[in-house]
Amino acid sequence: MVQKPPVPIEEGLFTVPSAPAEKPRLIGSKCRDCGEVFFPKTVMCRKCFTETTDAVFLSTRGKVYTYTVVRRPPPPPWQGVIPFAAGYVALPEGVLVGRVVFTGCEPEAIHIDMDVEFVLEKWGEDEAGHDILAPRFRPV
Amino acid sequence: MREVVVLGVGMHEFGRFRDKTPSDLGRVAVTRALSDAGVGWGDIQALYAAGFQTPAMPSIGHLVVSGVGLSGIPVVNCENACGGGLTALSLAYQAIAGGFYDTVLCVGVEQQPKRGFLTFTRMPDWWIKTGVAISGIIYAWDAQRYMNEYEVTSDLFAKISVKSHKHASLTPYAHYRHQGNLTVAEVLNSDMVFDPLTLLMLSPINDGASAAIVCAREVATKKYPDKKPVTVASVVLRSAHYDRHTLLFPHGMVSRAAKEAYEKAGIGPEDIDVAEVQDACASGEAISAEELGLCQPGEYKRLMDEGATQIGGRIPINTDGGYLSRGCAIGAIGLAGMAEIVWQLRGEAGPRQVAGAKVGLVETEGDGPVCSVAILKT
Repeated sequence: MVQKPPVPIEEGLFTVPSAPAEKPRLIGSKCRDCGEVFFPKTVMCRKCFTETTDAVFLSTRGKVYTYTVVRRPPPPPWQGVIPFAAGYVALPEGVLVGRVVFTGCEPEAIHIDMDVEFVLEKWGEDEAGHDILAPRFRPV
Repeated sequence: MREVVVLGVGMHEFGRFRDKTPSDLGRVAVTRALSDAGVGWGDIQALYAAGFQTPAMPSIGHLVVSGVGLSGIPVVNCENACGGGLTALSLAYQAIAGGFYDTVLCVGVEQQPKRGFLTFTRMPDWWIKTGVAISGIIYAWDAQRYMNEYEVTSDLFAKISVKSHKHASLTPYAHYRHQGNLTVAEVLNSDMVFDPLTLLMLSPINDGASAAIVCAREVATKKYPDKKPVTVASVVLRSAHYDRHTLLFPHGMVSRAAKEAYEKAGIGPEDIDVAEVQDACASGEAISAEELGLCQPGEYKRLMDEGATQIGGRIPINTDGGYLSRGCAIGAIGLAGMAEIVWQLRGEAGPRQVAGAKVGLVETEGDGPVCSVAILKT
């Protein structure tokens, strides 16, 4: 039987590993002039206001910038388990990555400045039965 | 450039009015404002209207006009989320100061379609699917950063909610005016929505309408000499300046808007006698008050503990209960906050009156992100 490859929840946000040892990478953009980094990737530099950005892979590890624990179910098409923790992660290159759900621990364990790493997690399935992968961060 | 004054204000009560239409809500606010100003609908030369979620075709402004009278005036609809009402004011201000119109009406109307989380549909699909596009979540993120930065607990937010509900109990058009004796424990023990914000720390999204008649001073003096106009000393509208942490505390946008508003009005934050500030959640009041320079960063806790921000204190904030207890009918909140300031400056705020109030500030923030600040004085 042919394995159905997983699909990303949104194109262009991250890479989907094709081998088990491969790590997924977030895709951002970096301005050639001022060096500012953005996520998701942008065409324009939001700081210089010029069309001088290139796509770049972002660091895989960062620190929780802020978080909350969501205790009421969001409306459809959300699917998942309540409660869950979500927020923003600060990467070393200065970009804030968001908005992401935290995984790999109890939601209440998440705190500001916690060291976290980028992973992918199954969010659901599409009509053809492919796993849909969403971007997450989990404690290192 | 001409001086601009507020000649009259009017409101429809905030609450849940399933048996009324947005046109009804708007008509009530408009006719009350016209009556307050002593102005007839036929004297209004333009309408600037704000609405957000309310389904309206063709537009909220035209819905209101259809309920009041077809006078053929230009109608402009301002959609700027919670900043919509003061956006309407800023356009009215520019049009009058610039000599285009003499007498203009601003109106904000909202009738929220449903309870529970709103999903802001302009947000990326993947945010909506992963549950991070829900209304209000950004306030929880701000609150966590604030607590971390200044070593305060959510006790402060609970105290803000208690103050808000106390003020609302003195406000006839507030939605939650029957909880004047709310306690800190009750606020902390209400359902946790997104940590650290409990239900009683979050503003109810409800229905309501507010309106203001804005006029050139020279026209007001000639045509309506018996009225007590309140001067619009400045009104500023800003969006987010690039910052890595745009949308998250610290906002930067608010302090920039405030600085410009103070400079244009020729005053400083120490001159403000009463203020209506963004309190979509209790923590928002602390953060916004600090960004507005009403106190130093991290100082809001001390202000609350001193009673400074209550009616009777040194710098009363949200004397009508603010978004938290008066309610957050999104399109209507900017002009509702301004109405409260106008009443305060005229000495017509009854049991909410801040003694000797001469200079007031109203500030709103909205998804955009957008911030608007207006300074009014007698």
